[in-house]
Amino acid sequence: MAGLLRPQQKEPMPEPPQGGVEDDMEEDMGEEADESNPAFVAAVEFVKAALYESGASDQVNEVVKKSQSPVDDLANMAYELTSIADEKTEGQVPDELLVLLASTVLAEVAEIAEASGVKLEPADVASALKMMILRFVGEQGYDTRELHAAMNQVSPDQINQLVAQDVPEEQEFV
Amino acid sequence: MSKVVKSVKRAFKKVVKGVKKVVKKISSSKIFKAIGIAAAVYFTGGAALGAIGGASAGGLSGAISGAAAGLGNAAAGISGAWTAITSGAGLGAAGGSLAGGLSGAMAAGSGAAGMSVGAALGAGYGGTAAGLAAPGGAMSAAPSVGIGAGASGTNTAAMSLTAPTTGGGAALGGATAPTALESAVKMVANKAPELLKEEAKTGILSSALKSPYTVPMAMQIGGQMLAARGQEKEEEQTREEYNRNIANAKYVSRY
Repeated sequence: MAGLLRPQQKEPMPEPPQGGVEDDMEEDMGEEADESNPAFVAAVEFVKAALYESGASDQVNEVVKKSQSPVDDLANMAYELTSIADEKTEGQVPDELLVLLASTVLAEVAEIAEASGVKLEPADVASALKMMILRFVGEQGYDTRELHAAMNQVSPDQINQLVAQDVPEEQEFV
Repeated sequence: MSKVVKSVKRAFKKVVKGVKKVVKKISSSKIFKAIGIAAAVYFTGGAALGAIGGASAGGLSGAISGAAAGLGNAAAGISGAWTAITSGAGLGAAGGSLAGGLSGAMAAGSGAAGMSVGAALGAGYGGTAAGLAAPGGAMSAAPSVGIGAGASGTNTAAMSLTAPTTGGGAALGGATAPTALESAVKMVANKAPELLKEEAKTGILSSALKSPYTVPMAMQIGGQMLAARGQEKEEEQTREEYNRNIANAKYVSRY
């Protein structure tokens, strides 16, 4: 299945940066981490290995095929995978890359689900992302009710309509 | 999001700011496009959609801007909610801080009842959960094979507990903190002795009598015993009568 995280090699995992103090200093100096950040790369590699080398993709496949609520399952599986990857990199994935990491994992899990025959609308994937965001915010100790209510005002049709627009490939947005 | 994250609070402003990177990644993949747009909507109330529209060539701009404008109150609500959160106003409010992960999972409205608990109990989730926990161990060693057939909650739990001990994710610095899943499994495991004690307090007889199967079974056995006793008694009487008759026949009085 065409995945974003297709494993290509058996290279050793990149080491996450040691010591959070330097990271903080770097962030304080206004430098923004990008996708080449070692911890981010390590987290993505971890997810890649988990899905394709350790057989988690097969299990994702099995679960979504039997699932009564595949969207919930997708969200939960992607969230757990992201959490574990974050833990394995000792929380050193920069804050500004967390959403990208979670999105990447969700995209991968959703692609596996689609390859298993589960039909997913864009709104379903969006809903899974919404669940992940709310869970994250909740776990950080915030009251999610207001955010939840606001997010629920966006209808699935609106999401589908937005995605239906033709976005050029690999477009760079600033 | 994880134990690491729980102990080291994430800077929400930076997390939210990171949505820009997701939007940048929008590609021909329908799924990633959906995620990018959803991220733009759910994190910025559609503001990032304007950036998509503005940067794109041709008719996309108008279409996206129109759709984004259609978000109306939702956009304002989302922006307001995020402002409250990033400014710290939502912290600790009305149960928001209560029991972190569990409330978070519930708030997500997941019918699957939160991966960490539901999966550990094996409610149809088993295999995957084990598989997700397992790769940590398998990272530096051979890939784990056949983890989580997923049929039984008990088996899954055992796998989840044992998986991280193999390899320990050494290649990534050997994280030692257990996952939420492991914690849930341990919580269930810790509860087991208490449940056994409770069972011991009530006693075997009383707990047996509570069973819906025990009473009818006891009645049936009792009935059979009574019937057997009755039959025994009847046979005894018959035997006595027979002996009496024989005796009468043998010793007929001559007088």
